[in-house]
Formats: sequence, structure tokens, C-alpha cells
Amino acid sequence: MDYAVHSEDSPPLPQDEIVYLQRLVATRWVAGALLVLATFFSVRFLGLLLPEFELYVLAVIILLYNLALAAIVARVRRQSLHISGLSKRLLEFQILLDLLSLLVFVHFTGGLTSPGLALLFLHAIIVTILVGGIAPYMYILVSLISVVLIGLFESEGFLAHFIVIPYVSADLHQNGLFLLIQVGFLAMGMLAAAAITSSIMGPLRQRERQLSALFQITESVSESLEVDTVLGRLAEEMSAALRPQAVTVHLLQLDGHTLTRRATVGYGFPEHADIDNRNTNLYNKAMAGQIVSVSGAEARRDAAFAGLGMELQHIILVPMINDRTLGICSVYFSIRPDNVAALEGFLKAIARVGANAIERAMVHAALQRAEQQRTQFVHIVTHELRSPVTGAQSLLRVLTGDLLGTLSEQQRDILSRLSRRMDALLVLINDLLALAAARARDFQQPLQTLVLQDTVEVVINEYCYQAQEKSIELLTELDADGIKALVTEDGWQRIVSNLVGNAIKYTSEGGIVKVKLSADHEHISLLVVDTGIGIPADNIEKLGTDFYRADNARSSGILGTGLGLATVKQFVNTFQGQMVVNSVVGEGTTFTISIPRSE
Amino acid sequence: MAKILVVDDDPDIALATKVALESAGHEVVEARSSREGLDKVKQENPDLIVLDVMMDSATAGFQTALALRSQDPNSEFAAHRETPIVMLTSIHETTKMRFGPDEDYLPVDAFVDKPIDPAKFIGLVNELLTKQNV
Repeated sequence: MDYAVHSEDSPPLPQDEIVYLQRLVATRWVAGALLVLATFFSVRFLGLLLPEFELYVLAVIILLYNLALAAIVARVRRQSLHISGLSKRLLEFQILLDLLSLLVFVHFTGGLTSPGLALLFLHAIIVTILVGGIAPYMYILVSLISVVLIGLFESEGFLAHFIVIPYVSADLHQNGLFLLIQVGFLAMGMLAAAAITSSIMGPLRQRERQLSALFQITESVSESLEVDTVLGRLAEEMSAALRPQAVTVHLLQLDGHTLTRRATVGYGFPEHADIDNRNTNLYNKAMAGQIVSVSGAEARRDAAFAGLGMELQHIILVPMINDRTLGICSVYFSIRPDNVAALEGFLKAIARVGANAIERAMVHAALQRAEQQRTQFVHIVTHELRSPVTGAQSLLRVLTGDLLGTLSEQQRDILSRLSRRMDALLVLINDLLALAAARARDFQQPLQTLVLQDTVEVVINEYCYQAQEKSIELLTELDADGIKALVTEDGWQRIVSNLVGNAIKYTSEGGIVKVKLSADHEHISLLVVDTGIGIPADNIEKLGTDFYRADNARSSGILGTGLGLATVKQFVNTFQGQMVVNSVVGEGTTFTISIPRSE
Repeated sequence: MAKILVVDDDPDIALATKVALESAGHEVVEARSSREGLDKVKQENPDLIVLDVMMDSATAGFQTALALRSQDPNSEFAAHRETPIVMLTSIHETTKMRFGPDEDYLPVDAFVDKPIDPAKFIGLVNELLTKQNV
């Protein structure tokens, strides 16, 4: 019994069954049509003495039951009925019907003198292709017996005999020797056809099942990015495909020679047995990249397998290789497999898939770890940076608030400068933290569906005072009431706040800042328009780069860190939105942010 | 004129807070850790407590506030359950911190951002004290 995925007796895969049935039905249409045409042609043009009427009736019957079968197959396909054995029964039923039709055809075209006997060879081949195992031979037996019976009955006169080919002796069909020869050749021919076909079909079916199993395994292990899940699934799928005694998966540790068992299917393994591949010949060979196949006795001598509590006949060690050997899959058999070479080939393919999936999972894990470390670092650093600044600032304010005595003008001036520097430092630290948080996935809030207008209204309120101080007219046109988008509260608030803050900051006294919120079928758009200093055209594409400030902004004396727009850009990206900047130096700027609606 | 307990591990913030409160005429007692703070609450029986959110750990302040506000009738802080608490934070953006496994509400009376603005801070403290006395 081959160990490559089930035995030949088990049913083909459901998709295959449907395809076979459909092909049979299709072939039968052709057969029925051919029968009609051939009969017509033979009688009219070749002058053969065929029982026309009966043959046409046979053709009609064939076409009718094909119609019925076609309907059944279509129904099975549409409803995806996988009632175990249903397709097999349907197949057997069709084979019998076809055999019957063939026998009737043979009878009407001369019985054992019929040239149509050759069709039985064809049918034998078809049956062997469709059905595996011993069934084709049963079929051959049945058809031979039937043919013999037809021959005998015609010979004895119980059945009519039709002389089809003219000039053939009228009582040939009663010639015992002739009958014997015909049946003899028929038997040999059918048996040979079945044997040859089956020797081809065997490996073919095996390959099909291997491919299907490989596909299944690939899908299963590729679904997960967790190393342990991938390993577990790999072991399970291999076990399901090969039906061995057991499967284990070992991964190589960082020291380069210890193999740790990470997944097991089956029993009889000691707990947590690490293997040092320097001590064991077989594992050493496998880690070098070779697939290693040993019989039970030889395996039991190797240190790695000593003490395994099961009766082993055969073990195969398959290295999982990407650009290096990641580990080993071991498959343990209690019955020696037949075609070890083919099995090894199959296992190599599985190991390749496994190695890929494991590598992917490992990379993913490393990436997550790195990101986590980075965000932790940033968080700690910025907190550590803030604390001295807030401490110093608090003390400065105590002094400048005259709480410890009135200060002289100069003292107050210097302390105020110190205070301003501290403020600027704090703003920079906060901006950095915000930007880092925007970029670090771990820091993010989950996306939620929010009404965007609400936040805009809050931010406008917050900036009213600042705008008033500079006599800037803060206008609003908010037409997106109740409209939602998939964003984070913090991120959206930062976008609006940064843009409105910038607009006010870079617009001089008496200017105008307008905030417009509107929506169409697909997007919500936020426009922040100002009559400020504007942005030079060639600076626009660099906006949003860390620490970048436009030339005129830098020389304006207005304080800025160059991180605000970078933060805005980061959040806009996260929300799958777009940012567009339009500006004329000296006249003003418009920032347009559009974000997809969520309903 | 009230007795106020300031719990903060940063000596500069503690000093700034102390000067501000004393200039408003209050008596100030200090503690440098949450443990010391909880002890001093029992010893000194303050009228208001100023707590820093981050001391020995990221959530030391909240843990201390939770202990003080414990609803358990046998809690050692039962007598101080109603004492107003002002929390000093350096997180001025909206990132919410999880400060306890089951708490959805903040058991403090006010949050103040660092750096301290003395005038605003004094105003807030006085307001809380006045509310308490009513």
C-alpha cells in the first residue's frame, strides 16, 4: 500500500467526481449523436444491413437517459452535495447503463460478428480511468459474461441475429471456434487495456492527491503569522496527509546545534527532549540539508531515537530549508512505505512550504518585537526629557509670579527669557512624542467611526481666544453634520488643531481664517483657508517632512518645530485620506484634507 | 488657611507647589513617595492632597488615589475618603491611561498639567477647599 495520501481505493476528491460525471455526460451526447449519424450513413451510403429503427430507438433512449443524468449532475453541482458515496454510486450506475447500451448495440450490429465489439475495449479503458482498484476487473468479468451469453443466445436462436456486414457467411455466428476466438481476443484485449490504463492511473491519482494535499498544507500554514501556530498546523497537515504513526517538528536554536521540539502529532515521545545534532548522526546529516530515510533498526541505534516508546519500521527526517536549514520535520512510520523515493519528493515539497511559512512568522515576530522596543524607548525618553523641563518651568513661574518677592525689571526679563526657552523645549518634546506616537502602531487607539464635525467645532472654540487676540476673523462653514469617518479621536483632533493653529499663527493682525467642512458621496473634506504669509511653490512638496519649515516661515520669527505637518500627514495616511496644499506667497494658503466616509 | 499634603518624588515640582501654596497662606506638608504619602495622610490629616501621577511607577499616583478612595468600610483611609485630591499630570494630550483594572472613573477631583501655573493652581485649590467646607 502506498503511503502517499490514502490508498487507491478511497474516493477521488469531490471536485474531481463532478468533473468526471460531467465529462461522461458530454461524451454520451456525442456517442448518441454519432450512433444516429453512423447508422444513417452506414445504411444509406454503405449499404449495410442494419436494423435502423432499433438503432435509432437505442440512440433516443441513450440521449434521454443522458438528459436525466445531466439534470442530476447539474443539481448535485449547484447544491454542492457531497453526500459520501453519492458520486460514486452515480458513476457506477452510469457505467452499468452504458454497458447495457453497448451490449444492446453490439447485439443489433451482429453480436459476436459485430465490428462494434471494439467499443468494449474503449469502455474498459474509460472505466479503469474513472474507477480505481478492483472494480474495473469486475466490470470486465460482467461484460465478458454478457457478451458470451449474447453470442450463445444468438447462436442457439433465442435471440435474433442481425447480419450487418454483407458477404459475411450467414452462420458465422454459430461457429463455435469463431465464437471462442472472438471472446478470447475480447478478454485479452480488455484485460490488457485495463492493466495498462491502471498502471498509468495509479501514479497519476497519487500525484493528484499529493498536489491537493500540498495545496491544503500551503493554505493552512500560510494563514497564520504566529510561529507556534504555523508549526502546529504543519505537523497536523502532514499527519493528515500521510497517516503515519507520528510527526514531530524541531526548530534549530540560536546556538546552532540544539534542536528543540516545537510541535508533535502522535504519542510515545518523551517530554521536552532537546536534541544536540552534534551527538546524533542522523539529525546532523539532515541539518546539512539532506533528506534522511532509515529503517527501524538503524534508527533505534541512533541516540536521538533511543527510548522512543513505539514500534517503528521507518523514519524519514526532512530538513526545512529556506536560505538556511531552519529545522527538521520527522515522520515516523509503523509500516514501511512502498515508494520511498516518491514519498521523499513529496515531503521535500511540503518542507519547502513549511520553511517559508516559518520564516515569515519569525520575521513578523522580530518586527513586532523591534517596534515594541522602539516605542517603549521613545516613550521613556520623552518622559525623561519632559520631567526636568516641567520641574524647571514650575520653579521659574514661581519666581516670575512674584511669589518670593518682587523682582527687578532685569531679573524679570531674564527669568522670562528662561521661561520662554523652556516653553519652546516643551513644545518640541511634545511634538516629537506626538509624531512618534502617530507612527507607532502600538501607541495608536483603534480606529472608530466618529462624527468629524463635532471635533472641528471643539477645536474652533479652543482657538477663538487666540484668533481674537490677533484680531483675526475666524469664520466657519460646517456642512457635514452627523457624517462619520473611520478615524481615531486623537488623530483627527490633532489634524484639525494643527491646521487651524498654523493658519492663525502664520496670519498677521486683521487677517481671515476660514474653516470649511463638507461632504460628498465618498469623502469628507476639511478646508482651512488663511490670508497669511503663504508658502513658496517649490516648498510645498517638502511640507510634512520631519522638521521641515518653509523658507519664509523660518525667517519670519514665528516659532515652529516643523513637526506639526509631519504629524498631520502621518494621521491623514493612517486614515486613508489625502492632503492637498494650495498657496500664493503673501496672499494666503489653503490646506485641503479629504477622508473617506464610513457610510 | 488649610493643611495641604503634597506627594511628589520630584523635589523641584514639590518646591514650586509648596511656595505657591504657602504664598496663598496654606500650611504645606511634603512626602516623597506614595508609601510616605499614605503614611502622612494618616499622621497629618490634611484638608487637601496634591498627588503626582507618576512616581515610583507609571501609575503610582492613581494607585494612591484609589487606596485613599477605597469604598471598603474597614479601609485604613476611611476617615480621609472625602479629602479632595488634585492630580499633577504631564500628559496633556488626550491619551487615556489605564490606571486600574476595573476602574472606569477617576477618583480625583481635578487634574493639573505640569508645569504649574501658580495663579491658576492656587485658584483651583482654594475653590476645592471652599466646596469642601460647605
